[in-house]
Amino acid sequence: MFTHVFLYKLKEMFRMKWCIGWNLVFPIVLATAFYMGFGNFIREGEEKEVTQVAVVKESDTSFTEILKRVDFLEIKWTKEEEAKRLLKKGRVDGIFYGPKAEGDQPKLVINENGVGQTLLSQFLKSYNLSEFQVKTLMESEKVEDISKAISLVSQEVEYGEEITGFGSYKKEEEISPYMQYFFALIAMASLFSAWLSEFILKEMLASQSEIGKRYECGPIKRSITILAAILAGFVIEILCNVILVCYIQFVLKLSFHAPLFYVFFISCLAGTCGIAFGIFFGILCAGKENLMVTIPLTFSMICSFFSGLMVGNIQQLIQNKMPIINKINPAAVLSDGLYSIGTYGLGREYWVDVAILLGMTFACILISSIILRRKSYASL
Amino acid sequence: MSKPVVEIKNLVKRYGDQLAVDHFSLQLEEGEILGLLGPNGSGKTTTLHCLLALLKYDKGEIQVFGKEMTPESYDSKKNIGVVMQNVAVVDTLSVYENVDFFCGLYIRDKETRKKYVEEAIAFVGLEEYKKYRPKKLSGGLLRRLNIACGIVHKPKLIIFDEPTVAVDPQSRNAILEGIRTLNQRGASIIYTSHYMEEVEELCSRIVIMDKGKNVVSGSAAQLKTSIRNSETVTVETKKLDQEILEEIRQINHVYQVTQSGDKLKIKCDGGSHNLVHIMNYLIEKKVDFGRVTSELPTLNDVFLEITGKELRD
Repeated sequence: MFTHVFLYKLKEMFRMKWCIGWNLVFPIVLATAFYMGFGNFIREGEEKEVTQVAVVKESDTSFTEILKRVDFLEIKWTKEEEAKRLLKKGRVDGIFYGPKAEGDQPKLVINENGVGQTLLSQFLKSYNLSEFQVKTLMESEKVEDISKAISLVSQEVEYGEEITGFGSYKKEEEISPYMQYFFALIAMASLFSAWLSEFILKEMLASQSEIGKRYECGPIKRSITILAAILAGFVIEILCNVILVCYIQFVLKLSFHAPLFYVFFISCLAGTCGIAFGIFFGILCAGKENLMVTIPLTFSMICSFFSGLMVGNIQQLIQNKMPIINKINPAAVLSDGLYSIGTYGLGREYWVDVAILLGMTFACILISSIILRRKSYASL
Repeated sequence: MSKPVVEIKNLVKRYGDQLAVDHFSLQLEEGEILGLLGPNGSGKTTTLHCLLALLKYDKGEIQVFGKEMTPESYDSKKNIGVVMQNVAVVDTLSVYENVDFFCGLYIRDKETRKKYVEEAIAFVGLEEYKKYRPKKLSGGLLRRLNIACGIVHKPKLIIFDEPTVAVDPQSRNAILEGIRTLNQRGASIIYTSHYMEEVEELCSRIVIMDKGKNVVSGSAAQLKTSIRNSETVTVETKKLDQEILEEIRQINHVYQVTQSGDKLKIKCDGGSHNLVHIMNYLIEKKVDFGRVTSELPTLNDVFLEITGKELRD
């Protein structure tokens, strides 16, 4: 029975023009439009962009030593006034104030948020960590030559480490800030699955449609038919997401800078989250035809907007003012996940985003199933 | 004696303060076609929803095939077919796929399912339209598909909830004929409608509902003889004096005389040759009249007499 319902639901959804239209065709058209708008910036950026930084050097320290070794920063060794002037004119992404003496903390000054600034900030964090490791290494293993110690540690904190997963990937280039639009687009497409699950629910419940009455008059548990239909919706959503990601990566030739498996994984997880939200909304708006269309649409569009679909750096602005919003917005979480794996590689940030999406999905499904557990209706 | 297929005892269903079903009782015996007749909003569909365990109810007892009916009565549900008031088919599936899909909810075996689907499609006469999507079917054909989806698994109990609403006469006849055939093949049927002619034509027993109550039940003939009215004579004539109307009222077996426009309606309670007596009086009084008709009581008259309102209201 489960397979029967699943296969027929799959067939049904494949034939629904709006389903394929909103979940696949529309995102692809929008991706193409984005590509035509700033695809060149992304590719040029990837080819040329090196983060520029001004360094105000007080004295020779291990920090300045490391700076000389990195190849992804174009360093301008300047005085403070000149550095400030360059920053103001946007010629550099930030200013590093080198420590006066070994053991002091270097400082970073930036004017705005962006990939370059994030990179500098990440570099500084890595340095602070490695500085501690260098000290420990010199003391414990009696490495007297500081250059040797730095070399040993820098192997561990090399920026752009190799990610292994289903295939390995060596990070070589920085991700363009314009890719943010594509991340938000994938997030939007994923959340459109809320419509799909709302449709599923509408069709499966006696309280919402005549077909639902037919299902519930039949000799199958409500949970089985709903589960089979949701699984079919999930398959459709995965396919749409995979096609969209492949379209961006292979047709538009815009790189995610990450192994595709992890991109697929988090996108599909966001799709599942969208499906779970759709079920939740479907239950909340039961019988209210208009709300059933407007709520998932508004939800997916607002979430996508705040993840940077229309204003690229809005997510960073929110991060500075109210970071919690980014953590409860599934589109922002997905976008952040894609960004972090593309920028920092597979690490804690990515898995935190995965965990948040899983948590949201679980919460929606839990609440929905508690409500759906009731056996029969008070009114139809 | 075998247990009734359906037994509803003292069913009460409220929507907030509104009483939708009021201590309603009903029995459906095996092989019977039971007509549930009542105006819109009389509680027919609510009763059926309670019977199918779709709706919670406040009081009462419902048994189907001798067992209490609950949402988990899957064994009973296997033997119930439902044809809903509104068409309930999947728009994106073809006629064949729709019937096969709903059959698959009841029948696991593929071969049996295939056979049943072919039979159901042939039964409703949709062989030529197997590959059509519902949107390409006319209203009548769509209703037939709706029926095929409801009866494909060969249920022992079939519930038809106003299956002929907005259907052309040809399709309506086909549907009614189909229901008769299903009954001859052994299915017990509950048929709800507000079309009294259909119910009268089809059902061996009729339950008339109003305001959620069982107003009266019995065969059509029993119901008609249970009321005072046995014949209604309608005469086309100009407006008559009150005096003449009073004299007509004095004719043997006449108990009600009403005039509206050029129509004079005379109701009689029993007796024979009522029409002849009325005509003789009109001729004797030299009253000019046109067409004269005499009608036996209808279910509408039964309903009118019991509730004081028209069934079609």
